[in-house]
Amino acid sequence: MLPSNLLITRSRAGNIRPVYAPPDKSHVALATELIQTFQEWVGKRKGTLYASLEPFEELGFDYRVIRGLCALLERNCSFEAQSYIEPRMARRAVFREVNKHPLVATEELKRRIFETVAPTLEVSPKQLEESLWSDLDDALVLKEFAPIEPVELLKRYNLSLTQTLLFKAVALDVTVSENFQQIFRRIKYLGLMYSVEKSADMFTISVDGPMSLFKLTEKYGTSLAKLLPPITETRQWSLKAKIVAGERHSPRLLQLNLDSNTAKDLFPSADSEYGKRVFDSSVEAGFARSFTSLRTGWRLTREPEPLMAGQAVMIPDFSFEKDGMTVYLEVVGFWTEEYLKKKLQKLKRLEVQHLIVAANKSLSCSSFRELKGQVIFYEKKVPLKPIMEYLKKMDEELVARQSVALEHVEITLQEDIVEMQDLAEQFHTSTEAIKKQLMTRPPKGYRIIGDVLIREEKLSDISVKLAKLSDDKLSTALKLIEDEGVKAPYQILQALKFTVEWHGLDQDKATIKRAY
Amino acid sequence: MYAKIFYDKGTILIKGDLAIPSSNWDPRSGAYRAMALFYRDIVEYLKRSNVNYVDEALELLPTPYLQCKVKLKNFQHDALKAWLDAGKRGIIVLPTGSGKTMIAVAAISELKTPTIVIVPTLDLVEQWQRVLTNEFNAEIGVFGGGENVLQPITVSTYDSAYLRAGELGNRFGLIVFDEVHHLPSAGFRHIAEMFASPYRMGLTATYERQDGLHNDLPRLVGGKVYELSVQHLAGRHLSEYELEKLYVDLTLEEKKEYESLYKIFTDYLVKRNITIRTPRDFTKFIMRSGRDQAARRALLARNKAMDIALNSQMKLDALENVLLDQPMEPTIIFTQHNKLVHRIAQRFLIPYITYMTPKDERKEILDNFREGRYRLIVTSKVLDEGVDVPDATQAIILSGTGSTREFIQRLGRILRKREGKKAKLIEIVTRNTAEMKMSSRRKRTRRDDASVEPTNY
Repeated sequence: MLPSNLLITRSRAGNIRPVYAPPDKSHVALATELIQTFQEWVGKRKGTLYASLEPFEELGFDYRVIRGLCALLERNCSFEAQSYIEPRMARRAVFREVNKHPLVATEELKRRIFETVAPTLEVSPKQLEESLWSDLDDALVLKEFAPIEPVELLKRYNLSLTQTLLFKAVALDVTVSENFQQIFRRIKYLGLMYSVEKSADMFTISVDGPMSLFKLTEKYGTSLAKLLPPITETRQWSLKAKIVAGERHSPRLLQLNLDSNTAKDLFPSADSEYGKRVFDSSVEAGFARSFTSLRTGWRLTREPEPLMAGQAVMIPDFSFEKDGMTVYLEVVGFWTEEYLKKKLQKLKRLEVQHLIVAANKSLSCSSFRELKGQVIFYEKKVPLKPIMEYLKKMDEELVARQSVALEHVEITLQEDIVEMQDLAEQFHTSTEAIKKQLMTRPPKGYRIIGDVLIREEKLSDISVKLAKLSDDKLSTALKLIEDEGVKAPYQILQALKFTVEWHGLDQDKATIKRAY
Repeated sequence: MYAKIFYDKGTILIKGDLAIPSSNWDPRSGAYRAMALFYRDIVEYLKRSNVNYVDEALELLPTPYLQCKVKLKNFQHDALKAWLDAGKRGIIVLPTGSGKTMIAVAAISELKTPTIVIVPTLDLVEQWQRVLTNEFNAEIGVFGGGENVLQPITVSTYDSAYLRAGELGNRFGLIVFDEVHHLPSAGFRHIAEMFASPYRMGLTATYERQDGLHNDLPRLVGGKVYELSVQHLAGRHLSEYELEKLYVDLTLEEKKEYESLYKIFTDYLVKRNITIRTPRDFTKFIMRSGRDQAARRALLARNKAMDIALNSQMKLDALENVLLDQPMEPTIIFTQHNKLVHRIAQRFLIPYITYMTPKDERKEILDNFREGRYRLIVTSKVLDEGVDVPDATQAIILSGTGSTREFIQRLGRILRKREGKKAKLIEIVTRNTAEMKMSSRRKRTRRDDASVEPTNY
């Protein structure tokens, strides 16, 4: 965010837009020059730094671009007063001495005062005089400067420019497809109000504040500006804002339209900060790690898309998805009974059937025993077992439901080898349900081996080919079976009553032997 | 019919089965919503309509017994009474230095309700905090200058109150706006709108604003309930003062440079056929300079010329003469720019205060001045309003803008009562420059305004 006198905009036909500094050749060259100047000035005075930056304003760029870039660079600087004694202490001593005289009107008297005061502070008169004004802004010394890439500087500048324009915004509509938790959390933290509309997988969030109901007010402009970074960091976004422009006596309401298609390269990219974003708590991170390692077939999503409840939204911490089923998990840190009850109530309104709330026992702020239902209590980490049980139960229920539906379906097979997974997709059901169905009604002329159906003839064909092999190496046999188009060679070998004899750990040395 | 009312971030939410005047339907909350400003009206409406209602809007801070020993002067007492009679709302207009603070103190003691005082500057925060601590013997909360402490009696800057209105707005029964003429600006009026405080007091020496926005004050705080002008008080409660104007000429060198720079500016105006008569014309010109390189050069040249006039060497010499003339008078020197503050401070070794001066150092300097350890202070605009510097009997203006209010406020600084003392205001102006125009504009407006006409001019 920049001082508003450094904001540059163009407006046409009711629209307004900042005049950006795109990362093109001339702007990158300018940014590079400015960064170098700051770097060279480490150890020198702030006053002379700004004097040396003045000529840049003659280069044909708008002077506000240069001052804006410098304002951002100054944030990477640390300045300090360099003096022999604390400047304030020096002034106090000098001013008290000065007060003994009617007026210090001559250099002679000035010198005498320094000579009188200096020994009491154990410095020389010259050191005293130098210390006296050393904390004035111009006299500060640039101590450190954290360099920044020219392109990154320009992108930060463009973001700041947009934020500065948003200071004057009375309302903001944003459309995004991700990063919801951060966006909504920030809306809440900033005391703003929102309403949400969903179309396809994009959410349009309209944001203003409680006073906006009564009048067009710029009161929330600063807060709306703070909402910008988590939006422009996403992969696909657009925004519309109403901006108050013009003079105070004849204000006009203009429209700012921006979207990722046309403005993406202007702003700091997603992978700079958004990509590296971490979990809220180590509890959640730990949970995600151990769940993923279990390979349950359920797809785990962190911060799934918002659930809508009337005009409010809720974003659970995790979702588990499988075959069109979704289970949500909300991890609760500090909580009270009232809070949990309210949360469960809200979920009820959402008509979300499958939601597990995991609450930390040690962080409870009231008794929790009375609460029943989908609340799991944990102590150090979110336990996997009850969640796995919950998901397993859902699996079983699903298979049972789908099996019933499949009872009246005729499954006809044509290929020699049919994978159950493909069948499941064909019938829009789970592999488990298909398998269960095929087990109870085995199709004629096929054998079920693992998750594969194989025609009897094909199986004997493989059997004959295996018998004719020149050697008895396992690897030769596996290759033959795979070449026949079967993905589960071990199970075929087993079905054809072959046993594998291992000679050490090396698969190449293993042999097969038919057990008669 | 029933209703339940809540406070929500600067607004009042009304849940129930009836619509209430001044409220709008808010579909997002499924309830009626009104600005917190209307809290008192809403409650009165519900009472009058015999509606069964629950009021959860105010969450007043638990407050100890607030009692002070302040003894009001007659006119202060009249002002307080007028305010109480007007329903504990409204604005009291009194000259600077007449003890407006004490009227607010007495009001707090009378109402015994948690109170927030809104003031324009950090110096005033400091000053109110000191007075309130003394009078109520209690810890006083502060918002502003990096401090965020909430107490039953709290002082806040307009800026902090604007930013935090949504969270503080239902914690106080009484809200006092010091220098209330700041309140009607587009941003700050939100403070009055977002606070639910039923009791409101505005204090100022200059009710009218040039832009006419003071017409909004009756809605925000209440109407003018009491007014007293300078001539009613001067001599009795305030010291008399005289005004002196010193003209200085630019040095030859300065004059040459000034003229050539100013010509760049006027040439540009002639070339583009621009006339600048009002501050608005000037704002337009500044906006133009953002787009137009030539306009920018003209603006920079004008600024540089003004800089020469305002910072003229001759002015410093004139200042030296004045200071030598009155070697005992506690004096505050005002300038418009920090640059000149530092030049004066460094030339005469005078303690200085600018907006950059840290709060505690500013306090230290003012304390030293008050207790006579420093005779002189040089400052830019930071001491403009209401800061209590009791022993200043002389003020010198080295440069200033043409604003009427600023002029009166500065004048007010030296109006502190001191036995048998005639205060003095000296203005040092450069002759034959644009600054002359600024200075005469001040005088003209002041003459038009009878209530501040000095008795001894």
